[in-house]
Amino acid sequence: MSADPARVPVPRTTGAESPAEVVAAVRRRAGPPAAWWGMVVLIASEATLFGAFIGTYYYLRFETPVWPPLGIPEPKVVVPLILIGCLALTAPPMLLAYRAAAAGRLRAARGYLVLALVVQAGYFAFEVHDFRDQLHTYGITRNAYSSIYYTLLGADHAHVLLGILFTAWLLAKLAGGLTTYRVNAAQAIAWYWVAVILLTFAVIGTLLSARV
Amino acid sequence: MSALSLRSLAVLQWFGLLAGAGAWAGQLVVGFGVTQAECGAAGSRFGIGNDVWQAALLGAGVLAILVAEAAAVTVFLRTRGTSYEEEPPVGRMRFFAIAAMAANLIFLMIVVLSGTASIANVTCRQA
Repeated sequence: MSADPARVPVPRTTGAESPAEVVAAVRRRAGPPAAWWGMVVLIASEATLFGAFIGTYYYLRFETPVWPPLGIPEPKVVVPLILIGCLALTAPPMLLAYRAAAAGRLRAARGYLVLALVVQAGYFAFEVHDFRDQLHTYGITRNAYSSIYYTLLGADHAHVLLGILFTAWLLAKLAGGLTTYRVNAAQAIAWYWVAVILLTFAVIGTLLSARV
Repeated sequence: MSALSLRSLAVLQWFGLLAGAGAWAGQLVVGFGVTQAECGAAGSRFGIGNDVWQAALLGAGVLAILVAEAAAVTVFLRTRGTSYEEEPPVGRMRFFAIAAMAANLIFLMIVVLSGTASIANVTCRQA
C-alpha cells in the first residue's frame, strides 16, 4: 500500500481537540472508527451470553411441569413494561448526543446526556429496589426457576449499571471539551444503550412468558 | 506497509477475526450431534464412532485456528507503522488484527481442551 497524496490526513482520535477540527475529522472519515467496531464485538459477545441464559430458561421450563413452580408468584406485567418503556425512551437522546457531538454542538450533547442519565438512573434505582424486594419473597437458591430468573434479571441490571457508568464517564469527559476520541466514545456508548435496551426487552419478554 | 492490496488485507483481517470463533462453534455443534448420534437409540444404526469423529473435529478446529492466527499475524505485520486510531480501513484492520491474535489463542485452548475431554470422557452415560 502507498499513501495517497490527494487524501487529506485524518488526525488520530486524540489529535483533534477543537470543535472545528473534530467536526472536520469526523466528516472526512471513510468508515466507522475502531471504537464502534469494538462495541460491535462487545455487543455480539453479550448477545451470545444472553442467548445462552434465555436458552437455559426455556430448557428448564420445558423440563418442568409447573412453571413457575408452586409457591412462587407469577411475574408482574405492568410495572416492568412501563419501566422498559422509560428505558427505551433514552435511546433517542443517546443517539442525538452523539450526533450533536459529531456536529460540534457540545452544549446540546451534554444536555441530551444529562436527560438520558436521569432516566437511566431512575430506572436502575427502581429496578434494584424491586429486585431486593423479590429476593425477600423467594431466594435465588430456592429452585431452578428462581436461579435462572435472578440470573437473567441480575445480568440485565448489571448491563444497565455499566451503561450508566459509561454515560456518566462520557458526560465528565465532555465537560473538558470535545475531541475526536470523545465523539467516538459517544457513538460507541449510544450503540451500547441501543443493545442494552433490546436485551432488556428480550429478558423481560422471556420472564413474562412464564404467565403464558 | 506491504504490496498486498487493501482488499486482500481486509479479507485476511476478517478471516483472522472470525475463523477461530467459527471453528469453535462448529466443533461444539457438530460434536454435540456426534455424541447424540452415538448415544441416542435412533442414532445407533449409523455406527458413528465418537472418538474418531471428535478427533477429526479437534484436528480440523486446530488447523482452522492456526490458519486464522497466521492471517491475523500477517495483517498485524503488514500494518506496522500504523495505529488502530488511524483512519479506516487501515485503523480497523490493525485493531482487529491485534484482537484476533489474542482471541485465537483463547479459541485454540478451548478447542483443544474441549476436544480432548470429549475423547477422554465416557461418551454415553445414563441420565
